[in-house]
Amino acid sequence: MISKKWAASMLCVIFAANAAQATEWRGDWDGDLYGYVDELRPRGDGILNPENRIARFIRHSSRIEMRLNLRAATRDWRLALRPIGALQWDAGKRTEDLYLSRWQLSRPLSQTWHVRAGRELLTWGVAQFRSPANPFYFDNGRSKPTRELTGMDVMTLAWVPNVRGSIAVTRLMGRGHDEEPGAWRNGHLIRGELRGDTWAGGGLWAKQPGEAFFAGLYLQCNFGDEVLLYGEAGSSRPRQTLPSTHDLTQPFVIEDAPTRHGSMLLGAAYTLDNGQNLAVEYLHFGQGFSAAKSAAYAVRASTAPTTAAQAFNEGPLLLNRDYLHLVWQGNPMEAMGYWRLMLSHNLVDSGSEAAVYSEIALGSRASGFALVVLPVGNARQEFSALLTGSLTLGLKLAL
Amino acid sequence: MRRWILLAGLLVVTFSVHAAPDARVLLKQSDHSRGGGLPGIIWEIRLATREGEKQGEPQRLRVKAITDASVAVTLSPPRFQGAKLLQVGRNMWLTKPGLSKPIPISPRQRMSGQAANGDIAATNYANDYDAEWVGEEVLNGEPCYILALHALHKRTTYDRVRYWVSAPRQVGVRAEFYSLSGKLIKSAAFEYGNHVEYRGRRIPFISRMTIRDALIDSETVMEFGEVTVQGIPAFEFDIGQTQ
Repeated sequence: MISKKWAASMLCVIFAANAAQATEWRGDWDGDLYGYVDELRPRGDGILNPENRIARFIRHSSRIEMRLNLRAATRDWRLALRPIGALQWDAGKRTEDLYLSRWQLSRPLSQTWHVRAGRELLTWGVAQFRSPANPFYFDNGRSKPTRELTGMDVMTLAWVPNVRGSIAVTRLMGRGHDEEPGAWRNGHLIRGELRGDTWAGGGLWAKQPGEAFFAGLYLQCNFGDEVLLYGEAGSSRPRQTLPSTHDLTQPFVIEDAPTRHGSMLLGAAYTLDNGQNLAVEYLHFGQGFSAAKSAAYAVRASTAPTTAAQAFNEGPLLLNRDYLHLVWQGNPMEAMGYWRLMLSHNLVDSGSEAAVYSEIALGSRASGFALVVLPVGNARQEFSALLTGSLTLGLKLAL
Repeated sequence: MRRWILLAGLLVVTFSVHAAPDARVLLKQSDHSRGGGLPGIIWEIRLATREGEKQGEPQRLRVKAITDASVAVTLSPPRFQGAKLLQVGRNMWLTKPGLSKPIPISPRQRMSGQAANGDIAATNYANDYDAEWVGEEVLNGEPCYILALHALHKRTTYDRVRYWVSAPRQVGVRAEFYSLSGKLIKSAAFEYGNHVEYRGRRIPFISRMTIRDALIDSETVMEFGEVTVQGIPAFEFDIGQTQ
């Protein structure tokens, strides 16, 4: 939920803007009503989550979710709000949630300067599997289309002299709805972008007090109408990690101030004449384990429930170093439906995960969707360590 | 005698001007009536498609465009409301409410029917094509110049265009679009029922574009309305802002 301080600030600014300009706000809105069920199959013989005692995954849940987009504008000011209201039933137990996933109040200061504040999604680059150039959304949610990615609380001053480039300086106020205590509070982000005729790219620098800086780069290049090559890279030094040593007599120890790591993703996409798109991505994750360390990690995690819990809760964002991700998808511009086949392969432990997402129009307002995820591997391989499968089935109604 | 020679010379000059108009000037002039060369244009497009007997789902878009960028927001069908197609140069991205990050779009991933993504933006043939006058023809009772257009760079939607420009109105009334190999891909007809004010002049403005596929029985009709000519700041086309 949005903090009281932020809500009060926003209302003050809107009131001041309205009073100062005495111009009318014109508004419009749209939204979607989602209803879906999730089925998870936790692995019984899991090392990180033996008999589902640590993660306690809910095997069956259903959710109704209203996602609204409210917009209002005067000649200069623009306000956009994305409130989410949800009801969820987990094994018969009902929970409610109401929050602002994103909002933005913006106005131009001149033809080239622009200021905005709100809860914004700070995502960039083309990468689908993971986004190594992004310190906020490494997992950018592309593999689970029903997931609502919530914004970060920010204030931004942007200089956009022309359509070919921009620089934005952002004050980071916090993690937004997904608040982690202290995460990105009072931080800064500087991001520049350039766009040519057939290419686009950018660089960024982000820092929060008491933490090492993050630097990232992203680039995409079109070659004809068919081929898109892209890449993302990032350098970071996380506050804490859980390293794995070859010596199995040593316990897990969370380390402070580890060394700086670099990660990168290289991708290539080919679009067929019919609009379908094939993409292949290779990710090297600098914080991930090598094959020996990954095996030692699994053995050490299996020694006791406490070490399993530690491994589950404190492990890196991705366990291993090298991944391959393949995507075959339909034309996202197609009006009557969209589908997406995804295959992720862990090059270190040889485990894989296959996923299929499909969305079919059932009318001008309604569509049905399904997501099936099938990990392939054993309890010691990353993709299959927690679940043996999951299924999401749902309906979406445009309001 | 000298007077007759002068008169004959004037006639020759007049004829040659009529026979070979300045193709570049003509093209630039005709672009204005399709949004090109203006400081910026905002318009609403109603898009209807037909393939054989099958009617496609109608779409409505609001488009903001400047010389080398455009952003199209889907207003209907409701399922797609709020989806935005951003184009800068040859780069295109699609964003939708709830989508975690913009998706790059290839020119091969077209919007609907025969309309290329470039067709919804302002037309800047004078910037994108080399023009050559190749003849004249009367179309629907109106004398027209025929221009052969050759792409100047790779970011054009079509490689070659044969373009009929009305001689009295100086607007493009018909076009044939060809591939690099010289194969006819599709043809289009243009109507100008709208008018806009530009530099103190009231100029005719495109109201309807009908695109027909050259190989199959398929037609897309784009109707342009609520046209406004105004400067649009660059941040409207900034991908960070469009999310």
